[in-house]
Amino acid sequence: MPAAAELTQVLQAIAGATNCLSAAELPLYAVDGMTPRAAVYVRSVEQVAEVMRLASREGLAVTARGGGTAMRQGYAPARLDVVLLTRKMDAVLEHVPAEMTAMVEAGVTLGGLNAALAKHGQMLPLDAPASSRATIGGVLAANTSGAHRAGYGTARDRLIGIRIVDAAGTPVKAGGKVVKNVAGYDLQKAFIGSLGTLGVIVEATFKLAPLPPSRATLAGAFRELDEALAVARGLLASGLRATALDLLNARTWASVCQRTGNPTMSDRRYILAAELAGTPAAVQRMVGQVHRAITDGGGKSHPIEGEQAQAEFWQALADTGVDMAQPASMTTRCGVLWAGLPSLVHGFEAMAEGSKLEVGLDAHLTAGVMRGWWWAEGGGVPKDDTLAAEAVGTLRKAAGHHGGYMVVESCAPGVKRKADVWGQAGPELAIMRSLKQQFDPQGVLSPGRFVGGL
Amino acid sequence: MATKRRSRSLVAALQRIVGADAVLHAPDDMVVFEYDASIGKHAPQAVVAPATTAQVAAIVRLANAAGVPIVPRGAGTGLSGGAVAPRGGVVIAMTRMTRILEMDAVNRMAVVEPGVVNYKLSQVAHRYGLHYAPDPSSQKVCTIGGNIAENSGGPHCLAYGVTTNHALGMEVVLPSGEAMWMGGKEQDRPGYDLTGLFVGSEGTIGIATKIVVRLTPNPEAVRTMVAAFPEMEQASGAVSAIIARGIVPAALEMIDAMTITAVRPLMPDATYMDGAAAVLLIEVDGLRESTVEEAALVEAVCREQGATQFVTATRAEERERLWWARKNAFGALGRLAPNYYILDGVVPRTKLTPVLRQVNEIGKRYGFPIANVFHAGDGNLHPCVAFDERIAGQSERVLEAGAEIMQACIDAGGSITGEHGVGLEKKKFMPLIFSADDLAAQEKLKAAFGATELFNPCKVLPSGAGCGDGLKFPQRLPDLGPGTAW
Repeated sequence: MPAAAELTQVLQAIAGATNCLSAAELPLYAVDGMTPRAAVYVRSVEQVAEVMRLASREGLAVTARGGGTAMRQGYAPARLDVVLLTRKMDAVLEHVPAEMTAMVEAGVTLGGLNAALAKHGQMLPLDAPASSRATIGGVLAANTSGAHRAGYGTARDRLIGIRIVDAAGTPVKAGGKVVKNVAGYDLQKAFIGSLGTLGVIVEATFKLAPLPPSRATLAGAFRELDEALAVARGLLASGLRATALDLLNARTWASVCQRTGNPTMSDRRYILAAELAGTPAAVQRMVGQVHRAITDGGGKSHPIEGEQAQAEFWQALADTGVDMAQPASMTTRCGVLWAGLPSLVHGFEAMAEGSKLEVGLDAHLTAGVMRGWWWAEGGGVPKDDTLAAEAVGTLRKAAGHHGGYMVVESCAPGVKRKADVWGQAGPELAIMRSLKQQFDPQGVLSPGRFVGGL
Repeated sequence: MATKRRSRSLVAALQRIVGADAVLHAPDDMVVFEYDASIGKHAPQAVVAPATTAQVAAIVRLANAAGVPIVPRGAGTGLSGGAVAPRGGVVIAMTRMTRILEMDAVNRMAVVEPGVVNYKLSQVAHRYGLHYAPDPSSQKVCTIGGNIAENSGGPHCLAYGVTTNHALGMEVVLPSGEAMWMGGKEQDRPGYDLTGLFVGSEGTIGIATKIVVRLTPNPEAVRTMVAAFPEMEQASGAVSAIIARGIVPAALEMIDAMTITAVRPLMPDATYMDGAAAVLLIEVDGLRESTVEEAALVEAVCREQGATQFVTATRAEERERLWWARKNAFGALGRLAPNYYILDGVVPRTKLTPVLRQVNEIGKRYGFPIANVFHAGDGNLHPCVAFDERIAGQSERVLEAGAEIMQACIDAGGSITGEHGVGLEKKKFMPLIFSADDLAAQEKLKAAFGATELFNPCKVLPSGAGCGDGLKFPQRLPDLGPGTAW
């Protein structure tokens, strides 16, 4: 095991002196309080490969980092020697508008990519908090998603090709550049949501979507949860294809409004937020249908007008937990079907009240995925990790009551020491362990952070 | 003698698991199971049709103990040899497991047994205003289990995705004989995406015994159009132009002049086809207003590219008439030549024109007429190479022509298979698109699931002893029979 100075020297030889961080900067790249011994910006697949070869030779634990927006996921690292910084691998390698595909380096930010694609009337329709910082590699590794999964699916529905560097430093590609491809095993799927534990993502190719000719966003505010859900159920049963259909509680709405200037409608506790996209006449009709359903269902309807305001609204929603003024101290994600949603929402809110916490909820209704953002009362940081840790157990039980799961997506290191952020691994753990063993036998890629301690 | 005795005791053991009437072992009884819709015949030792997950698991464990290969099989409509038994052994036919276990209209999901026929699932879902989106051309016969194995597509997958985008979880019997669940109804479960890895694994790392699928709401309106072009290049240009204009059609298919020649006599009213070098079939769906607006744009684009005929249909019977040419192309082509080799290649959409030209040139050079009927919207080609097996050397040369066409697809930045799978047929092409390291990574995936040499051997990856190197034409071609649509 080389000493820190020696390690930095070797990394400087690989990536250049200016790309290796000084000792003073390293604490900024700590993961759950563990400071790495080195951090290096890499600019090419070859450099990533060299770092991984070094890591395998010397048994170094490596964690990749893009925009640093999802670093708090998973268990605390068992070891952390090198943080591999990918932000400088930020080229859009290929975008052929007539193909509606794009191949990018992993360090491209989601926001940056969409800004470039918009000029050609196209988009990569994924949502991520802090999208101007979140990188494609990170979005894939964390399987980040948001409200627009209703209309466009998630990363696994968009990725058509990937290139990774494995633990031994070997570049491997899976998939290709075409939207239909069943050549060989669908290895790409292994890396999505793997938190970098099976390989470092260096390039990705996506099937894009056209920017719709017309879009509308409409919010409906209700006094009771049942009213809001009944309206949503009715709309979905009628065959409405919303590109986003989320249920928010008042706390989430308040947070979003604070940042976007929409009216808080504080006498209302639950808000349905819908996005409708398509040709202008179709959107007009859908807006009318949703508006009527809201008002007939006891709700107050509030349109969000203008392309800019709409984009800001949905990004603000995705950003709720990372708002600089009031960052969430804990973020949870639950999978829950319709039958379990009301009791889960009420259960989470009751838990918050009982523990002097505040919780903002955002349920993606067509996907059965609900995010929870947690603050101490008044929007600050809880003084005590114990409360949050205890909450985790209770909340997980509530989710499990209806066959669902709960994952803590981010929390303080102290909470991680006291609570299980992933939850009990199921029967899939044996194969997951085999996969990890096959792809990273030495355990150099983010050891200890993944499900089951992999 | 010893082999016969072993064989008899294997059959007896299988009968004890599933009952005597669910086991076939006499060669005459197993003729249909010697082949699928690909080329070649391989005789299994026995065919068994389990009814439960426990039976499937017991069969796999039995085969493991006896050192006998197994081959899972759905309806046998696969075109790459996935369901045939090149090393003999036991074919496990999943076609007795046909129950739809659950229809969950509220959460838009269903839980089905693997033998459920694709079309049947959509028919039942229709009662709830839903359907199962992946619709391969063989959907009236093919099964969900087979779809999962091949990650099947179909004409609607550009807009709706392929099987993996609609598979949420499954109960699987692994090569070890152990049964386990991966994925499920709730989405984004923590952990590696085993469901995603399993779909498209061509029956080599497990047998799905229950499948959770996503159902899709039916569109309010569907508008089907055909556009006839005097030149092929105009048609493929129109394909790119439609996409470039921001339309993602529900379907975008093409048929060429040779196919038109075959189907035209069977469609007396289809005057729009006369004189066309290519016909595009375009479908848009969604709200009524949106189909009207999009259809107008599609027509404008087609005419800009040179379409001389354009027909639109909105009523079900009319739309079916327009689809008829595409859906019955293979059957119609069968009238023009004694044999066809159906290829499956995929290229970037913008490369359709040059690749189709190359396909044409290859056909001329080999002396084989080639008809093109395909999913133009995805760049997924299906050149049908006509030949006559009775003429000496033609069978071998048609495979050579196919290999050249494959290479043309690869050179254009495409892939060796868009939807039919690798199976036996395309193993030898895998090294043309994947490096040794890429293939080694796929081997690791297999190993992680506990794949063995006995579990559907000789499929997908080019390794494996005693496997030969892919499809070979046997001395006598099998009678493919009706119903093997593609």
